[in-house]
Amino acid sequence: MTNAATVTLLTANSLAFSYSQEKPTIDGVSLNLRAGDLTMIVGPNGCGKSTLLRLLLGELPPSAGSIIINNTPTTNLTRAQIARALSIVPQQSQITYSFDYTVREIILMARHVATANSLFNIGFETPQDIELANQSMWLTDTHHLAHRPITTLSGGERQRVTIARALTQNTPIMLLDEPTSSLDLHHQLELLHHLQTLTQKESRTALMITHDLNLASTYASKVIVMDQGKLITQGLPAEVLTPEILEPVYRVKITRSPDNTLHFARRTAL
Amino acid sequence: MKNVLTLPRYLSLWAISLLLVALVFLLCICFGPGVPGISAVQFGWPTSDEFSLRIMRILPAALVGLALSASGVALQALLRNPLADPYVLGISSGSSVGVLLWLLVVGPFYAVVANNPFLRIALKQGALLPALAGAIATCILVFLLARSRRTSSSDSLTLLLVGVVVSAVNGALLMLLNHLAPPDVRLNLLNYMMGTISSDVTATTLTLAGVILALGYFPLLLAGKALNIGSLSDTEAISLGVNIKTLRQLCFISASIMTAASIILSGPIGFVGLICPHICRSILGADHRKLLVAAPLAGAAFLMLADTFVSATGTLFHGELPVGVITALCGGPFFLLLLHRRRENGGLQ
Repeated sequence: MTNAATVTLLTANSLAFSYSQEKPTIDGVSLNLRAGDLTMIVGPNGCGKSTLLRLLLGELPPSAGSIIINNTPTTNLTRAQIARALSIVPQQSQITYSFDYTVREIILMARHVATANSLFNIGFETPQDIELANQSMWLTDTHHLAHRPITTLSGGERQRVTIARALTQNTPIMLLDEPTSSLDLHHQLELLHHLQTLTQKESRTALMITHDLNLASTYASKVIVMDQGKLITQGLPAEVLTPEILEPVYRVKITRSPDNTLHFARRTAL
Repeated sequence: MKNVLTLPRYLSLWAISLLLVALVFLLCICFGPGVPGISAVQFGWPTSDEFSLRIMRILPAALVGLALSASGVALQALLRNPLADPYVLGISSGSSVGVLLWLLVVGPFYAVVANNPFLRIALKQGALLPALAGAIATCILVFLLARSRRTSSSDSLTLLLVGVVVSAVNGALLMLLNHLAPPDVRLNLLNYMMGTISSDVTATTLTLAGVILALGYFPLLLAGKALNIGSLSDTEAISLGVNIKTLRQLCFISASIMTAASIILSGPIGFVGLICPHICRSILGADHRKLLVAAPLAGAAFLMLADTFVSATGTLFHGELPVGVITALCGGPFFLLLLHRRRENGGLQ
């Protein structure tokens, strides 16, 4: 990868999907994830952000459109091949643990993809697996929790473990569904700093859903605004995160200070 | 390093588990009823008569214990709930319904084929297929009823309700079929339903059960790591590269095959598939690669001990207790304790 900024790692072409007959959940969304980009998706609740991520992951089949990873349509890739290219941090509220795995066990599960092309693989951990897991645990500040049962952890700690697992998967594409929702301020900033480093220095790409518009304007290299299943606009944070675009989407009053910080207020009926 | 599975560790786990099973086997073979009419319970190296008598009790018990415990592990991973077990969910009794239906249908033909040894064996061992069909059908039914669409795991309360109802319906079906059966085919249903290991297991049935059990067990054993990942949510399993549909089919078939293998040797025996995986989990942790070694072997040891206990006490008192009485007396309170703990930590999820 000589010119990282021009390498497209994932392309989605006019994706469509609906859970029911009535109304499409995703309606003609196209996007490119390029190496070096930290892309953030913003939009109101229920606008299809998480569904879009599940489509990109291949958990849900699109009713129209296609997804291309490394110049290959995902329909021609096995689950293991997709998992070597793409990792996901699911929404914290979607994750429940039925069994008391330890933190290290949870994180090492990400290394299954490295060796397994079928279900039948005992998959003893190699020193490289352990090294990768240790690095991610240091990055996410979870190394001191390594031997703790996952069910004894707080929400924020669990979220960091999920992030550490995605990092351990060591993929060029990372999808993150509100990864900062349970994190304290320190760990939020740490995560975003690491995501910036990983994308810029290691030519990866990250697609992150967030509700924190100021966080998006500070850290994102690109912002996508979604509403009612449609991609409203995408571009540089300064171009996209403007009161003109955001006010109709969020139905709030928004002002922007000269330093690009956004301020919000309830919109009172006129 | 803790929490990391290496080949030497895996092999030591096998060695220790097999050693424990061997010790329990020795204990059981040395302790048990004497040859009927000659002596009561005794302890000591068996005579060759006693050996051949006891071995045909101990081996079926070991196979049934192994099958139920391994089946329990598979069901727990499939339903993402440590309270699942082939007995609690009615899969054992579903398999029994299949067997009884078979007896009812082929019963009249026994006399016809009496002179053809091959057909006689085929009729007798053919019970495996309906046992399997009954187990698979119940397994799929329970899965479809117990899983929530939203979280794709099963909450304990729904699981229990489904289990209670499916077991009750299967119990009623067994009663009904037994009632319809001609007297010479009828089972002692009270003893059967409480879980008795057949006293007239032949070497052929035992071999067949062993082969079937191996077919269910070994693929599962190799899929231990995929099972760990599959026991998380669907989204996570998929993102970590596991084909969740194939894994689910493997669990269905494996759990059903192993339950069916136990049902051609015994009645539905309770709670073995619940207690043994749980105890192993509390010692070794939740990693299915370790659990799939330790829990089935623990199940084998547990049922060998329990069955030797009932066969030994049977000669002292008026006939034998079904071994299921012992496992239920141990397992019932254990199950309630587990349920209570799960309610304490974060509701009935």
